[in-house]
Amino acid sequence: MLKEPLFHFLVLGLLISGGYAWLHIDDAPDDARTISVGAGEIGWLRTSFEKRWKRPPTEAELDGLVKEYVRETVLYREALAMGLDQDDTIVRRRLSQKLEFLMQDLVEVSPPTEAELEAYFEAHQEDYREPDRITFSHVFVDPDKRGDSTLDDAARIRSALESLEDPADGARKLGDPFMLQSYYPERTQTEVSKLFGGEFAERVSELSEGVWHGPVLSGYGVHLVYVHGVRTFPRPTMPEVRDRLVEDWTAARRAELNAEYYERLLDKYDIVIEAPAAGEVAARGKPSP
Amino acid sequence: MVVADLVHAHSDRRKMKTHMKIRRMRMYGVSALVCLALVMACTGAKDEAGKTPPPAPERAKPAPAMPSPIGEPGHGAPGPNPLNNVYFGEQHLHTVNSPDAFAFGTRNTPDDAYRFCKGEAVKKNTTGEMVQKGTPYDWCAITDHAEYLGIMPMLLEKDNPLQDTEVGKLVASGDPKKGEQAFQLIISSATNMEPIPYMVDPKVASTAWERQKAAANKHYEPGEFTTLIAFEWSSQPGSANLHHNVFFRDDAGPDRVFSSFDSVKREDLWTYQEAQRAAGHENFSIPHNGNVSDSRMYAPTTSDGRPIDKRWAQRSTRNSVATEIVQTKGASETHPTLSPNDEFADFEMGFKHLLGSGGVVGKIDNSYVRRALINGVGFEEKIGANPYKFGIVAGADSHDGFSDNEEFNYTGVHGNTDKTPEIRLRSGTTVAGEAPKDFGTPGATGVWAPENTREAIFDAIKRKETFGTSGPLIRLRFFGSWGYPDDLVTGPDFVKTAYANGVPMGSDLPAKPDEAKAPKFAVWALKDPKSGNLDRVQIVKGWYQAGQPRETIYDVAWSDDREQDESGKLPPVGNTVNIEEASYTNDIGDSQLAAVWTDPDFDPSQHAVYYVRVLEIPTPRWSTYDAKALGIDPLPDVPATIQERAWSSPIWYTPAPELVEKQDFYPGLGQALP
Repeated sequence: MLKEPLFHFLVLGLLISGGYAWLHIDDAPDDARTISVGAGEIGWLRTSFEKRWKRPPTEAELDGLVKEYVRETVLYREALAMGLDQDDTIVRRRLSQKLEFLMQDLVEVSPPTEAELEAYFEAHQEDYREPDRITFSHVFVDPDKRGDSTLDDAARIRSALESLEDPADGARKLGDPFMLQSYYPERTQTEVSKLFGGEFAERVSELSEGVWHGPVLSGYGVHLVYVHGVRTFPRPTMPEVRDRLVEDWTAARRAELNAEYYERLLDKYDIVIEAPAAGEVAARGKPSP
Repeated sequence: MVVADLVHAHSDRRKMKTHMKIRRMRMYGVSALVCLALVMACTGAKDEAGKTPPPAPERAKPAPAMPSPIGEPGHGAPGPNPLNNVYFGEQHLHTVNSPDAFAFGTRNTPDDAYRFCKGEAVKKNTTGEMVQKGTPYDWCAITDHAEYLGIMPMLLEKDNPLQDTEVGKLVASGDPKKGEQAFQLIISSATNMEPIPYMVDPKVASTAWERQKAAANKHYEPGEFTTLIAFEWSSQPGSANLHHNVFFRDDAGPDRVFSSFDSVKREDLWTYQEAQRAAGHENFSIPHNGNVSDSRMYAPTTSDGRPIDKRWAQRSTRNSVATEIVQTKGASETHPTLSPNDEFADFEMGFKHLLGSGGVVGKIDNSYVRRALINGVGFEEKIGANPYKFGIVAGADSHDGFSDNEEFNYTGVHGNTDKTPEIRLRSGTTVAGEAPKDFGTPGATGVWAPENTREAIFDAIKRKETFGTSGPLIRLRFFGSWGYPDDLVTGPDFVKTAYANGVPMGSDLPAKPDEAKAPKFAVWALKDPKSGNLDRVQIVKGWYQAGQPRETIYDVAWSDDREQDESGKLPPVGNTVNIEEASYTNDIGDSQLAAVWTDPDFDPSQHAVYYVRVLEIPTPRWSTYDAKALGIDPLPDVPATIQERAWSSPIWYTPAPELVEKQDFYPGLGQALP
């Protein structure tokens, strides 16, 4: 029961409303047909004014502020009475977000048992392995310079490279001037991606060792690539990654509980969705999250 | 859901990239299909290894021993690179520990901020969405406001004595109204310079500062990721922004920060800096947002309104080594009014109001970096010292903990006030009085350092070997000399020779040899592989003539074999942006641009300053990506496309004293003719 999110929600709700009442001792009591402006409200109006104008309000200004506050409250209550809060996208979203935020804090996840942790580690072991480190040389063939003949030139340069004894040396001597280095020892895919972009990094991580490849494209142009070797790392043992494991398990568990809570709420409703007629589906764009 | 969208957006962009490259290939007369086939065939992916068996070397063979590849360095061989690598990073960032950020609803911590910079996916508290950089940074400095640094989150901590205070009770109530009341107390206390005593209690302040330093030290991984201990001194007399960030070289850092409660005068900040330096905490400061300083940031006068003298100028240069040229609250390079002949001056100029002024536009004369650099050489001529001898950096100034430099990946920078595309594009919403549409994405700073350590990054900024960008990670080299060969940039030893026979960005040209006619500059720019191609490289020259600032902009390298017209004007590079789709192609522009340039108008008797500006081809502004996400038209009153750019730190020329003709009056330096 104590792990039941809804229970927590109710307790917190009580605390909030209780706390709210206690903190508003200064505020004048309201009922449906009374709008009271007490020391609490006036203090708040006064500080808002001071913040904006860097001085306290005059009596006339304060009077105006109070009138405006009353006006806003009257209109707010009438709007509620008329049901204007219903079906208003912004109101709906704001309220649902409020509940969502409360949920986040409510779900208290108890620490994992050893068995839970082991199972999680087993299922996600690959995520905890140190990434491979690749050593490669590359030659840049500049399409901005070579235009139509870029690919022919690349093929020619590749043959020249293949006839050389030392690939790294060839990479230094052939190809077009390029600001980055021609040889990179033991880089992770992320590091390669920082230098050459993700597409190139992904490509290079798939290349076989010991031969020239290319053309390989990057955001810069055309490259010929030689992989000297890849250093791989053994899977870590559980104690080595324990802290991260607990963190990840907790996050996953929290997401699971949040989803369960939503499912239970969802169960209270019958959802009827009528399929839109063909042609009614928007052709362009989509609402943002 | 949101994460999925992000991923989706990423793969969209990837598709776009591939597409654009293929299109580019097609221009060379090779069909896209052939090209693709060629790529597939030639690359011999592992799963195809059986068909074309390559000689299989042993796995995990150690990397062959290689000499450090001198000549074309990038991130490279292990150990320091004497020719320097570029390290991109953030030098201006706020988290929950800045009171205004807290008031915007930000709860993300320095921990989150460092992890985001490192490239991890981090949950943004205001939306609950996971955010992640496309390209991680190499270093990051968090600069929370010194005023009440780290105090606000303490108000929420159970058992913290601050909970028993007036502000503590208001905040802890959880009631938005009371919360608002608390923020107003805090903000008016900061504005009125009347700190709330229990919130500046040395014990409380020191606890918060020690935590801040500990977070920086926790995330410092020498060689992998650098952090710097730092804070922001937030002086803004009369709403004029005079903010400086202060950075430290050591791991211990100072015992206390210096806030605008201590003083709003920069001379007093320098005194603090000098005292800390004497106590072993080497440091420098970096002023920012001259654009909203009401002509005070780079003024010809001291805080007390007296003319700048030699000692003031020297203290300024010793303590403030760089300045920010762009950040989310606009660009500070120059103003179209100050630079009427600069066709690219009108860049991210939407943010123009003095801070919290409710819409007052400040004076511009001494509010921009270019004019400051030029007046600086005017001072050198007039008083023998340059008070505004700055290196160039750029920053975020995000108040949500996230260094959001990527235009296509922008998620707002001010907590709840600009957190979704709807809010950012809706008219009438404001971030402390400013429309979110007028904010730009954060800028990025490139640092040329031998290795990625605290000391190396700090020293590089101190010697001004840095450049700023409007966001993309453009790599930029800039050297000056009296005798580079004209083919320097095409040779294999460009960088080595450039260092050996000249000076890098941020330096003074060596004394002019008698036989030299004019200085020669070498520049090399490489695009961000995830951003637009390069349009052109320009050198901006400023000098003093008859007591007045003068400037000229030279195009020195450009893409696509364009030709200048008779007046020397280069035609525009074009525009490939599809605004409705918020996409572009790299069919125009070049990946790299390089040139050796000789100043054709050199006068050896004039003090001069030179810096580089690199322009990308037009790409969509963040607001255009937002409009696409919402399926609406982009806002009519902000540009739909922008030309992102990079600016180098300058190189200065100081004539031998006997060559200089001093003026009797310097109207450009605020001294009127008789």
